Amino acid sequence: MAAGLLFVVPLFGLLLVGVVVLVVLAATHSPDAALPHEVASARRHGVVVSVVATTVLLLGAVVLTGMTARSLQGTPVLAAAVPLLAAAGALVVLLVGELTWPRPKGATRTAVLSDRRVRDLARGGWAVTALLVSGGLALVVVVGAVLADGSGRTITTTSVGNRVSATAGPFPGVVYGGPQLAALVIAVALVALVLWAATNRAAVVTADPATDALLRRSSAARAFRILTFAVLLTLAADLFYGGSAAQRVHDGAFASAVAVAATLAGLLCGVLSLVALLFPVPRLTRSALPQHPVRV
Amino acid sequence: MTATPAVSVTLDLLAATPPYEQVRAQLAGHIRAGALQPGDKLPVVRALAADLGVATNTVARAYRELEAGGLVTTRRRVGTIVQAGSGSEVEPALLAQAKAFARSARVAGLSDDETIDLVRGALSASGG
Repeated sequence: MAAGLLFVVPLFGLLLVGVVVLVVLAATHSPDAALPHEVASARRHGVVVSVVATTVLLLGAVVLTGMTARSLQGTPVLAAAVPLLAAAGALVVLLVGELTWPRPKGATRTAVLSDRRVRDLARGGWAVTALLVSGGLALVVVVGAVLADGSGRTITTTSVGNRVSATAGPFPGVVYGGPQLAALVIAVALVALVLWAATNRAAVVTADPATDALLRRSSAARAFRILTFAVLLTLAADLFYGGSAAQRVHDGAFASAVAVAATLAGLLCGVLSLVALLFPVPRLTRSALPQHPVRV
Repeated sequence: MTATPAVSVTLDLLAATPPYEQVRAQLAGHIRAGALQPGDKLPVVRALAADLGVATNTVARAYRELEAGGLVTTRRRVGTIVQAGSGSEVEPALLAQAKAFARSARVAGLSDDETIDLVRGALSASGG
């Protein structure tokens, strides 16, 4: 009964979040007809790139899991980094989306003078969340490396006299954590590249400065969202498997409590990762539509 | 959403004037007319070049010419900013007349080049 609730409650919560997101999106959606043609195109481009990136993320995770499991013959060390590697693929899609669009056309071109900086996009809730969870993952990997035994993939408790009393795994030691950290560095570097591309790409013609800035913030938020999802999923696996392994080898009250807390935190991270993936990025709403044309 | 009209640069790739000179002249005009104030930051070269769809060298050259003319200064980490005292201290009345003339030229359907030719002709006729 309790085990059933453990899965039903998060699933129900996710369903509820999904419905709320859909209702809010539908209620605040601004129809394309209300937008200048180029701005509507920009929004469509953003949605298409985001859908392709999310597809690459999810399909990539499935394919990479299969590949790593097969190639390493039952010791899927790289499988621990699959979410982040799949995220790297999705971030490449976002990067290509930013680098290939929009292209100024026509013999007469107008640019509104605006001082754009990468750091302007590296602010806000999505950036802070991505930074916090990335820091959390780095911390978990370091702690896991310290707590793991010499094999780097299990945890062992020893009794007096160095007699092995219990070993359990998989545990996020260096063997799993190393590839995760490397993949995290790659993913963070790709996010930085997306921010750079989103900052330096051409402005959307006919968009007023505020709308143009909003479109750039959306691009940045999509990158942070993918990173946040992948990091939370990796954290979920590390904490869940690490906590479960620790529960099997520790019988002290405090150590057991910490292990149980880590396991539960892992489950929570798993749910939060899906919530992050569902959470909408900044977008053009009815109230955000420009009221004044740009002076050219 | 801000209602403040933004300062912009328009490039005509078919015009006889080179693109860098068009950018330089318009930025210089904005500075002299007070639309860009001392301390205002100009866009990063790469960003403005992307917005206009031209090579970064085009905008970089325009910025260099502005710097040589004492209108802007470029500092590492800060970027390119409008220099203090770079405006020609135009009297407000004269500035208003210039704006009124520009509006009249627009209403008359003159292109930018034709308008500037008109001004040059008037300057020549006045002995400047």
